[in-house]
Amino acid sequence: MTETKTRNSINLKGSAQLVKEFFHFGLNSILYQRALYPADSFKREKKYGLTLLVTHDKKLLAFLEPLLQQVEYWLAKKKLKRLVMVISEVKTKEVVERWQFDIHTENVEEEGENAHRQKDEKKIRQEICDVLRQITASVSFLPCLEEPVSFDVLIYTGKDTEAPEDWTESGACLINNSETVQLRSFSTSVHSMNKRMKVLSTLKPLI
Amino acid sequence: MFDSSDDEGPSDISMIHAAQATREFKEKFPLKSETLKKQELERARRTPAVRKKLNFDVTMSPSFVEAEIKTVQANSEILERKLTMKNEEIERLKTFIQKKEEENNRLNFQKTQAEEELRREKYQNNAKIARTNLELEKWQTIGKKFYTWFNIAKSQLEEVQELNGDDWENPEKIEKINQISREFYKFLENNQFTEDFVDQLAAGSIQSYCGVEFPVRQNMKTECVRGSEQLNSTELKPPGNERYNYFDRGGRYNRTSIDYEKDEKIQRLLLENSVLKDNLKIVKGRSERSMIIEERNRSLEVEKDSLQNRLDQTFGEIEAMRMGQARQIFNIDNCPENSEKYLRLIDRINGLLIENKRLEKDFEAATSRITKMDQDLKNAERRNSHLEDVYSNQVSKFNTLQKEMEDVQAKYDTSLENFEEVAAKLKEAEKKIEESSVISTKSDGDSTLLAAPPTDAGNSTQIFHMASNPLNLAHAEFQDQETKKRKLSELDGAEDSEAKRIRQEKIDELEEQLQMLEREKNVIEDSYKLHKDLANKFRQICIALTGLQIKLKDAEEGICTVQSEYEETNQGQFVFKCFYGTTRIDMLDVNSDSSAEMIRKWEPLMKKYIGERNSIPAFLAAMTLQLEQEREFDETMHERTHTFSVYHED
Repeated sequence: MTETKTRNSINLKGSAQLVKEFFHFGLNSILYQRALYPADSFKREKKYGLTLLVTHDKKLLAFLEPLLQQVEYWLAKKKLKRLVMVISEVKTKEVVERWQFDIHTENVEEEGENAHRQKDEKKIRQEICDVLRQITASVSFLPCLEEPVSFDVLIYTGKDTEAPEDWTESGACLINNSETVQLRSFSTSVHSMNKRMKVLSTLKPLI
Repeated sequence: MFDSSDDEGPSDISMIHAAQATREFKEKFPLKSETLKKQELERARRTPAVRKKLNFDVTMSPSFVEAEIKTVQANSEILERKLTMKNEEIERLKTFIQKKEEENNRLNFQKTQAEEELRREKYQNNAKIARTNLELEKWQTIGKKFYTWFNIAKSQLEEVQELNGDDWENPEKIEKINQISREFYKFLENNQFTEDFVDQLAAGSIQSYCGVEFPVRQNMKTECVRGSEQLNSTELKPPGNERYNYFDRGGRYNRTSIDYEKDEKIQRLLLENSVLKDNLKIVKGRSERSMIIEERNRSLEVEKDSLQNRLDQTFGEIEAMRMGQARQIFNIDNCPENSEKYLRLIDRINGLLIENKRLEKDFEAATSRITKMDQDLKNAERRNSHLEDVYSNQVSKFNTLQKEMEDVQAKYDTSLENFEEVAAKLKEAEKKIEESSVISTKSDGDSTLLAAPPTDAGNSTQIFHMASNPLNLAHAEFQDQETKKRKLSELDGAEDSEAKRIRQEKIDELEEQLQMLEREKNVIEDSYKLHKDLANKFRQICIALTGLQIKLKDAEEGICTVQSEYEETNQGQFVFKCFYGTTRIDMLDVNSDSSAEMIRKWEPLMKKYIGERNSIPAFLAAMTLQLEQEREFDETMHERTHTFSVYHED
């Protein structure tokens, strides 16, 4: 009988990679599920035991890849506090949905004795899988977006963080009359992520 | 040791012998000028004979040759005899020089011995002189002492002689007598015994002083007052009126016992001194003799040098004679003793002359080449200088252009910054306009929207987003479309005919573009067909000429297949991979049955041509040849007939 070896130890860098991967699939899932882009611009990819849909639209990839790289860098440097995906109407830029991912980073050092945390990678992946599954499932109770919409990603960091050249400061893009739905969370034992989704009250969830 | 007769001049016999020897020497070793004169005379005497010998026909006659050979032999014998005599003379002179050198060495040895002896004598003399000086100083001090005492005693005695009998009771006079010695010592303290003073004292014989003569006095009583212990102080204390006679008692006694001993010593020292003086004289004589010997040695050295010079001269003359003899021996005209030798020599000379000419030609060619190269070098230098000038001009131009470019770049940067600033301002303005328009479109006009956007970030958090995000892009696109629509609607509303005209113009323009594109498409298709046709023809020619069908399977990878036209099965083909830009071509094993069979079949040729010779074309040619030989004759009938013709290009 063979035993499958799993990694139980995780460090800051590895955790940042995992979270970045989650964001990649999570954002793609939301974009697909909320029909921001045509369905044929997505391809299927198996991950976490799920069949997930990932975009192959070049423009979108040109936006997502540098974004996720920067997110990974800030995660590894313990700078990232929150990531918000804002879905707004193209015409008026009115925010209709706000997918908020709060990130709490444990007091872990980049190197040294306090650089590792013990958590089974399989378990982490399972948690991520559950969250992604919930995103997919959330379509069932979210209202249809009838007006043409687009999205933006906001990154919350500390005051001392410097942004790259092609990044600018932004507003919080809050929804005044919103309904909040608390979704599942997961933790890599280095980064723990709490997820909430806010919807404009005029577009109340169907639950 | 040395006889004084050596210094005298030569005797009569030796003079006669010397004259005879010089005469003989001159006969045997004549001067170079005399020898040359003799040779000139001899040559003048022989000139007709030489001229006769120059006629080659006469010299070739056997009788003449024999006579000439005899004369030459006689001459050579004479010369050999002379040479032996000269050699003997040289040997004799060498032995003479050797003897002289030995004598010189012997004299040098004697000289060194004499010098050593002289040095030793000098050292001994110096030691003796030092000892004598010491003794002399001692005796001088003794002399001084006795002289002082003598003077004191004398003066006191003179005073005593003047005293009467009553005076001895007078303390003043006694005191005066006693005072003499103290005063004399005081006088001596300031007085010094100079050399003149000592010489004066030493003058005369010891017997010149005979002591003090005392006349006989009847009533005079002598009494010695004090003992011998008071003698040195010479303090006299006469008893009553009697005079004290010093010399009668202690003084005479002292003189006999001490002074004579001293005198004897002085005499002995004087004797020793005279002996030493004699020794000194002897040593001086010896040193003079050694100097004479040294002088003689020097003269002998001079004589040796002169003899050496004469010997060198003799050697030079002998060498000159040897050279002359050698010239005479190797002179063809004078010495026709061996015709073969002469012929060889002539051949050699001719060969050397030819070689010399050849070398001269080579030298001339080399010099011409060098001059040409010099000219080329000069031209090249000229060109180089010209190019350098051009280069420097270009560099200066480049620098100026570089500066201009930098200035332009700086201007461009500043203008770009300005442009960006303006664009940013414009964007901000547009954004504000949009926001205001959106706000204005909203019916309710909610006052909360006009306020600053609320934030959930707090003071310690800042929010970033990418400047070019999908929302902004989509919104900008939407706005463009909106503006276009608005413009179109404005145009539709205002001037319908103008809009139609514009639309028609656009349609015409698009149709023109379409037609142009179609024409371009046709041209491209035609050129494609042409290229295809050309490639097909080229392929046919290649197959016909090489018998190999080459197909490019993968142009990017450079993979091609090669199949011989003579291959019966039409299955066997080789696969090559060509590396573009290099000469490397690899044969690939495609791992199929037919390929394996082919490789087995052609393995020997592969090893031979690809493995050993590293030539794929040679292998393919060998394969073609083998296949051509293997095919059946009937098959060749169906092949195209290859003909051979010559194409003349006018």
